[in-house]
Amino acid sequence: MSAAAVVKAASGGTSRRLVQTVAIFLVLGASAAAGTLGLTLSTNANAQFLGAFARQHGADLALSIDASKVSAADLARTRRLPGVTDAAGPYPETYISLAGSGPAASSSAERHGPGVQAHTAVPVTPSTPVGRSPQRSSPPTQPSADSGVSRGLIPAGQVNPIAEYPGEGISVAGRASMGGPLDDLILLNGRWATRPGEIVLSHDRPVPAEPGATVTVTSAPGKPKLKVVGIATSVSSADLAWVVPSQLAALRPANELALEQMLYSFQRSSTPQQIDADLAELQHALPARAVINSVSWLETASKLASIEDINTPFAVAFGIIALVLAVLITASVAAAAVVASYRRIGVLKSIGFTPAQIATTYLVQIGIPALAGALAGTLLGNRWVLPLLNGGPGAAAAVPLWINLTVPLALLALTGLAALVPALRAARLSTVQTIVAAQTPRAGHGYAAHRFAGKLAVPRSVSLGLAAPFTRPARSALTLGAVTSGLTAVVLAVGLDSSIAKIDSATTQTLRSVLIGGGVPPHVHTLTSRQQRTIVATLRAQPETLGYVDEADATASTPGIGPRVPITAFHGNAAGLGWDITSGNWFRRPGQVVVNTAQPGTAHLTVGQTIHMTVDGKTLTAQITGEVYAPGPPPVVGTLFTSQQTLANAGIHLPIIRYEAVVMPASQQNYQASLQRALGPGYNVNILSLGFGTGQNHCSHGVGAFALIDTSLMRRLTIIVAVLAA
Amino acid sequence: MSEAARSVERLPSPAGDALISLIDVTKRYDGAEHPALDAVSVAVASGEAVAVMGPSGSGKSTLLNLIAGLDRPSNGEVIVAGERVDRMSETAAARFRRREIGMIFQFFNLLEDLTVQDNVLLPAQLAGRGRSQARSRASELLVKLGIEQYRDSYPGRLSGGERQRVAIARALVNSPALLLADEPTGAVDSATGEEIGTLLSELNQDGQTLVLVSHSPELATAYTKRVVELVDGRVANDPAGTGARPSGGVGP
Repeated sequence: MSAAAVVKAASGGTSRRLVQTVAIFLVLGASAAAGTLGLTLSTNANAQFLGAFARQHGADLALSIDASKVSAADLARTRRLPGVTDAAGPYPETYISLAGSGPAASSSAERHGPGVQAHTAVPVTPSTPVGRSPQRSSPPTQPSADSGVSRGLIPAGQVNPIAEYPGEGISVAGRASMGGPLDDLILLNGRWATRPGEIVLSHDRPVPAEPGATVTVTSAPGKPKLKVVGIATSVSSADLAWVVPSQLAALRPANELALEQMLYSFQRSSTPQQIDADLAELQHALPARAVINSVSWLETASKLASIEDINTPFAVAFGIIALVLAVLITASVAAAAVVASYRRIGVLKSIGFTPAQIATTYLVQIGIPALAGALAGTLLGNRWVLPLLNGGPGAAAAVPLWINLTVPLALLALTGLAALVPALRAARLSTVQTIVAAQTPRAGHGYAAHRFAGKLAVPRSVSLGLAAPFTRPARSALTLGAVTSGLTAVVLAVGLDSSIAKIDSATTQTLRSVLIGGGVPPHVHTLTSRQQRTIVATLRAQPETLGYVDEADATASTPGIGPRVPITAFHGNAAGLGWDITSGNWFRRPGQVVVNTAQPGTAHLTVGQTIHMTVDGKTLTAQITGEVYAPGPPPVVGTLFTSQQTLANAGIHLPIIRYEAVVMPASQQNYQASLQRALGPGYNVNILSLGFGTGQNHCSHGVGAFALIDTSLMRRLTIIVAVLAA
Repeated sequence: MSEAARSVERLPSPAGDALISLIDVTKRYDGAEHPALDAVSVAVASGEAVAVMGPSGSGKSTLLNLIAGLDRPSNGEVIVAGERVDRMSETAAARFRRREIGMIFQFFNLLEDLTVQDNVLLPAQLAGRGRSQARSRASELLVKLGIEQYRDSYPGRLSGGERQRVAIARALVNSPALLLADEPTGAVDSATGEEIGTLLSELNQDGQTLVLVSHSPELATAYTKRVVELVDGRVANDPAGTGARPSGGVGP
């Protein structure tokens, strides 16, 4: 019953000091939210993906194979290769363009789920510029390496199965069921397709259609319409849609390669080298040039890790600041509560409260709002962090239980320690002094400061104010610490927010570029000499053309960056294309490169550093002269930019696959149309759209890494900081 | 404090059946030129009503604080209900207070954030009384003091007299052996002061031992049978003669 008296007295104090109670609640809430965010992000790098990968029996390697070059026996033989532990497929596969027409269209603001490989972002209407979609470059049609296989890219001269043009191309596989020895699909909504005319879309679907909607396959002969019957997610394939196998042939564009998808798991697949060896074994077992494309689980994991790595430092920094502030502010509030409650302490003592009960009363008084705030903050942190984990429902993303326990308990413990000193002081106060003397400051504190301030030539009210902090130096130090930490956090938040805004602005700007390629997406070819001449002549004839360059793509093995690093090689004045240099300068001569720091594996690179690249078995070195920040999924957006001469000097001669023209402001739309008319069929002209979604409007692409720094998180953290600082 | 320890501290009263015995008590505050109390000896019998009077700074409140165990004497012994209050730790003194002493202050010292009933209940809860028992006792006192209609009101809404009645109810809820009142009518008008005085007098007639500190000779003489006068920390006059010592007091 005496405990009831303590709680009663404490709750009375809590309601009496409402502002302080609310302050403690907000501080602990904000700290718990920030702590949950920071701790979860810092410890959860790929846990969600790996968990989903294990649960869904993810494939180590997904191959797209030219069906015309392999037989069923060939594919069956690969299942028995020594390193292969399991295989699934063949699943017929093709690439289609979709347009949504169903009534159930919904927001496309969903995030990328673990393991979902999206190589393209496809808006509903192909002709609509995708202003915030992370496309940068045109199709990476790529000369083959001697092996005939280029990961993520395809051999030169072949049809590119992955169209990167806005509005085009997603991979669709024919699967009879969601299960399989590998890559169990998780149905998130609706049902699985059971007959032709039905389609299941990935939860990272490019078309914002819900079950019940109808989509049109604009790339297929006759433009068939399909009913969306379900939404599913895959952990290891690149597919963004699934149909029954018998449907697939009708979806394949005319003259398109027939592809088969095979999924494999291997005994050893934990390193890129092991994956390379596994791939080589499969290639060896299959006819030459049969493998068109491959996606390894390491690439998926790397993308997801890079996304989370971007968020983690910020969230951790804010979490630490919030924690420090929570301790300082709690201690300050508790000390203030004691000072303001001298008489109350005396009364409590006079009616029989022991010193321990007095201390407990004040701890409970702080603890009630602290507990409520910590719990509310932890819940809020859970709510905020789940989307950042890339956890689609199939991945069962959740904040680990230990974090949900550790964060509030640690905060409460720290808060308790912070409040303990003033609480013990309250317990030690003399009853007589508290009742009689009430708020009289103790003698001996700040007298010297008062004397010194009194001698200053300032009004007396000012000199009193100047000396006041020295009357209670410990409390003044606490306040100073809290204010300093708060200001630090505010400066960090504001600086970060403005930096993000700057990058956002830079990368979502309407670049005045138009891309010109050969063929009609998704069937894009290397440009022939005749096509190049035609394009150049047409560009020169257009009065709005300010300049142009031609471009080629390559893939390099680059120590320290990755085994398949996309390179975009320019010929011409590429510096005028409008890339926003975040550090250093655009390359000026052969042997220099600009690195895209938005891509995985580049965070450690610095201007001035020399990197080594191996392309088609030939090694070259180049010096980094500048950095750009252009988010987008590799290889769609290159990691390294250099001149074609850089590669040519090493004996690497790349075919031209596109031109990029810089046009006069505000003339893109008309320019695109007139250029397309002038060039005629066989060419495609697209407005370059570069950027990424921010805030709540995340691009459907998901792997647009910077999208996931999302300014909404930063804004929330800024709010936390503002609350703490207040 | 354990029962064993308590029995060790429970001493035979030097003044026979005295509930309070102050023996040669001196209280000197740090830095003060003169002691607040100087070798004071006073005894109060159980059931007695004693007024302590004197000018400001004479040591009245100090005397009360020493009896309540809120402060410790520099010298001498303070024995209340057979226990050496002057030797008690802070915790033991707090437990002693909640058990044996009820206090009333000039400015009521109610907890403004608790209702009247909760204010009254708080010491009972602190003493570990059962919920129903405590509520029953609180209700009994609220009725007895005529403030039951304010049970769920907050003190801030009550008049000074009503607040003091709440304070008296709170002081009595644990049925203490001793009621200490420090200027209980000092913050109320004269009519209310008379009501409070009458109430205290009635409580004393019911057997409640009362020590009343007051500036008012009228209050002191009207509602108590014995007036101890303090001057400059010394007992200037005590009808019982236990401590009156013009030159510093007389020992028991």
